[in-house]
This record gives sequence, C-alpha cells and structure tokens, in this order.
Amino acid sequence: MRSHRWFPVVLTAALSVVLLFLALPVVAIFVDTTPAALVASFDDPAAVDALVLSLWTSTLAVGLIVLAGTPAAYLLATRRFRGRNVVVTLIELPLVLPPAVAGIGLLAALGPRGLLGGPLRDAGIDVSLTSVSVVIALTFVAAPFYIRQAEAAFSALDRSWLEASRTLGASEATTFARIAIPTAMPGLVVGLALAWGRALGEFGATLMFAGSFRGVTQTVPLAIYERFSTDFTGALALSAVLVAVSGGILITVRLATRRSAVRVAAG
Amino acid sequence: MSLQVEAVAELGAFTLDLELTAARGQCLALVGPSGAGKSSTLRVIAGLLKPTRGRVVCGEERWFDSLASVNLPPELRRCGYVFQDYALFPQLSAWQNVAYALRDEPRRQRERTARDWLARLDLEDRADARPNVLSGGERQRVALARALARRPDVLLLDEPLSALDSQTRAAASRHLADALTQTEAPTILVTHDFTQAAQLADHILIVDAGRIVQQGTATELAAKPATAFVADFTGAVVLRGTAQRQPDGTTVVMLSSGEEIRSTDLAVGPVVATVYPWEITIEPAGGSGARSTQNRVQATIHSMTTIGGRVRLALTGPDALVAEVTTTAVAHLSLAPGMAVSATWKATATRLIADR
Repeated sequence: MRSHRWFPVVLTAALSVVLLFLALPVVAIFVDTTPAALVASFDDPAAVDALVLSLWTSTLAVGLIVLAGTPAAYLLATRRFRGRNVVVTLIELPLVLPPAVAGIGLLAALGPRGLLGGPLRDAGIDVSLTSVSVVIALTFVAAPFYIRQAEAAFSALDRSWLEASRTLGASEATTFARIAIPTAMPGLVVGLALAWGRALGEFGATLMFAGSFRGVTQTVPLAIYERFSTDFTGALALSAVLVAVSGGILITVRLATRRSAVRVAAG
Repeated sequence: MSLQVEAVAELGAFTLDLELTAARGQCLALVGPSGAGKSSTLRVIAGLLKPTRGRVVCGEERWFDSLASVNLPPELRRCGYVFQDYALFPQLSAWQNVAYALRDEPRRQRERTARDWLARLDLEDRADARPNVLSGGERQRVALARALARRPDVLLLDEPLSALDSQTRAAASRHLADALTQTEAPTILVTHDFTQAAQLADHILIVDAGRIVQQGTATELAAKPATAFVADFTGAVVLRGTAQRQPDGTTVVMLSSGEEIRSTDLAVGPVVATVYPWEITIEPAGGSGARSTQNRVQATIHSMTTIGGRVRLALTGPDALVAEVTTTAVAHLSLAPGMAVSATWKATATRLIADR
C-alpha cells in the first residue's frame, strides 16, 4: 500500500515548497507595511508621479505589443517558411537577455549616436531620456512574453476551424479576426497579462536607456530603488502599491477579456 | 453545374494522381483505406491544398489550372465542406455557425435564414446551443446545414458519418440521403465504408495510395471486384430493385435480376437492399421461394476464401452475393466451387435505403 502513496506525497511537498518560496516575499511586503505607510506613499508626489508614469507607459507598451504582436504571432503559427527558427529565436532573445544588456543594446540602436538614433536625431527626433524611451524599453523586454504565448495559442487552434471559415467564404483576414482571435483569446489574455506584468516590473533596461528622472522616466521600480537606500519603509510601501496594482491589472484583464471574448464571438 | 478534377500532388509517402468528373446532382464516393488521399482530394477541390499540377473546373469557372496559373483562394470557390470532425466554431451557437456561411446576405436576414436551415434538418430547438452541448448527430447536422447554407456549387463530405455511433448513424444517414436528393450540386463523399458509399452515392471510386484502382456502381464493384483490395472493401452485399409494401407490414423488393426478396424495413420505389455476408446461410439447392420471413436465392459457388475460422463464399447467379459461413458448415454440406446452393437470409437482416 505504502508504495502507492509516496509519489502523491512528493508532489504535494514539492508544490508546498514552491508556493512557500514564491509567496513569502510578497506576503512579507504586506506584513511589513503599515496601512499608514501605504496611505503616506500616496501623499508623496514623487510616488504618485512614478505610479502614473508606470501605468500609462506600460499600457501604451502593451497596446503596441498586442497590435503588432498578434498578427506576427499568427503568421508564425500558421506558416512554415525558411528561416522561421531564426526569426523565432530572435524574437525570444530579449527573454534571456540581461536587462542591463537590453538597455545597452537599445542605447546602441536608438541612443543619440546609435544605429538608428543618429539619423532620427538628424531628422529632429530625439527620444533619449524621455517618456517615449521608457515605452520603447518596456516594449522591448515585454514583447516576447506576449508573442510567444500568442504563437502557442494560435498553434493550438484546430486547423480545421480556420479552413472551415475559408470554405464558408471568409477571407484570411476575416478568419483571423472572427475565428482565430476569439478562439485563441484565453491564451492571448495569458500572454497579455504576462507582458503587462513584465512591463510594470521593468527596471534595468529602463534605467540604462531612459534614466531615472522624476515624472519623466522614473517608473515605480526605479522610484523604489531610489528610496531603498534612504527610506526603506517608503520603498516597502511603494512595493506594496506596485504588487497591488499589478495584481489588480492582471485580474481585471482576465475578467474583462473573458467577457469580451464571448461578445466578439457572438457579434 | 459539373465538377472536373485532375490533380497531381505530392503527399509525402505517395503521389496523389487522379481524375474525376461529377455531373450536376450526382454523388460520387471516394472509398479507400485511411491515408489513401481521399481527404486530400477534397482539399484540392476546396483550395486548401495546392496540387503540383492539374485542373479543377466547376461549371464554367476555373478554380485551379496549373497551366494558366489560376488558383482561386478557398473563399472564392463555392464549396460546401463538411469536415470529418465537423469543425464547428466552438464559441458560436448552432445558428451562428450556420449564419457564418451567409456572408452574402444582409446582416439582418442571416439569423432568420440560419434558423430556417436548421429547421430543415429538424434542429430548430437546438439553434441556440453551443457545439459542446450538442450530440454527435446534432453536430453532424449543424455542419451539414452550414455547408448547405453556403449554397454550394460543389458539396464535399469528409467521412460525414464516421464520428457517430451506429444508432445515430442510421438516422444521420437518412438526413444525409434526403439532403443529397435535394441538392443540385455535384457531391463528393469520402468514406472508408463501402456500404455507406453504396447507400449514398451513384458512382464509387475506390482509391488506394493516391490512385483510383477501380470505379463503377456499387453493384458493379461488388459483383466484379477487379482486385482483392476492392473485394475487401465491398463488405456488404448490395442489391438494387423496386420496393412494394405488403399488407402484412413487410416490403417486397423486386430485384433487377427478377428475383424477389423481403425486408422488414419500410420502403416504396427504387431501393438499395443490403445484407451482410455473415447473415447469409447456405443450404442445399432447391427449397421453396421467398417466404415472409426468409429470403431464398439460388446461386452457384464461384470461389471460397478462408478468413480465420470462417469461409467467405463468392456466389454467382441472378444476383452476385457474398456469404460468410463457418468451416463446420462447409464440411457438413461439402461445399465446393461450382456447386449449386440456396442462399437464405432473414427479412429482418435486409436493410432498405431509398435509391436516388
């Protein structure tokens, strides 16, 4: 009898260890933060600026990612072509790139003397050290999370649904909009949530590429880091706010898209 | 409207290379084992698979022509395609699935028309249900309604009955036969079941490894299989005739050979009568003619093949029959090729399907 039971015990033990390890720091943030400190962090204009900046830059970045990433992922999922593996590897590269390297890379590409930044500067466009550069950094690091997930979601679709749609008189574009997206929606939402979470938490690439200027490029993670050495309580409180906002966004996105998926499909 | 197909396509293990023509209102069956290239043929017609060379012509329209570099996308070929797993859109209700085919109609009319199509297949009460709560038979009918709602120039049916259990299959088969009678579109039916093909199609093409190995009517193929492969596929005995109802509730079928058989199925007019070889019993020649419960046909043993513990007898006579008997029966009756015998089977074992 005993030999039948040990494996489920191992599984449960493994999950308990994982859960404890992953949840402990998050719990600790809230345990160490007094409600008063939490409220106080909203009185600090620097904290509010950082929060507002984080929210709009990450929203814009995720919007851009979804806009370009969804059709790109669909192409990768539905077609086989030469060099596809190279393309996939290039797209996934930012996932394994250290954020500092990502920041350096962005500087080399779009910085004032960068590959593309030079010509852009000559044309009168200078993104360095502006909020636009924050959006660029967030988009760069977060895009692979969405595209990978979206590609997997589209690949998992029953090909006969897409083919049936075509034989019923729908063009490929209509099939993409009316069948592929609604049926892949749960997977797309997971990708969107991952990308958004990654964008909200982005630190290294933003610091390297955009700097940490209050109200312009200082997102919540950068503001937390700035406080960390002088005001640990303030850093903790702001961390708690970020965790709450990230969690709130993830839950909202999931609920909202679940409803709209049903509506899109029915429309 | 007629359909002409000539296609050569590389399918990995073998080359698909076949030609077929289906006239207006005709139903053509492609019969063969799994992976013979039957579904690929449908995909070539629908534009889901591009052949290396060939032509697909529907009426006056060229859908594909490798010489003229014509290759219409699937949405511009009016095909009603019933996929093997039906491919119903999971997030849409039954009527919305059907309405998806009505892209040419004004948006306001679509729901009405979609519900009408479902009603024709006795599905009006299920119109608002999603595919995941529909039964297999209902899903098959929704898929059929959706394909017909497209007002297709060609109807393509990929194993439309194979996903159903045997009880549902009989009813679904009747719905399908009705739909085929009503449609003018040439129909290509893919199946690995010869009996199904015999019931539904006018003309059968036996396909193996991408090529047509033999074609003809079900009766022709059953009577004169060109190869053992074809013989194997003609599992059931297929007889054609005209049915007449009897006062006792049975049906008498006057076969084209002049013989008379009885069935407990109800039918009137031209029918296909099928009986499975293992339902047929062999008795010494002679005996009385058809009784109300037992059919009796005189025949001669043409050949005998042992399969496992059973012996398959090919019988010739006014009607070509196949019977399967035990080795004990063979020994007991000293059966041998050339011997005259009586083949008998029950009226209850005789299935009748309206012949189109």
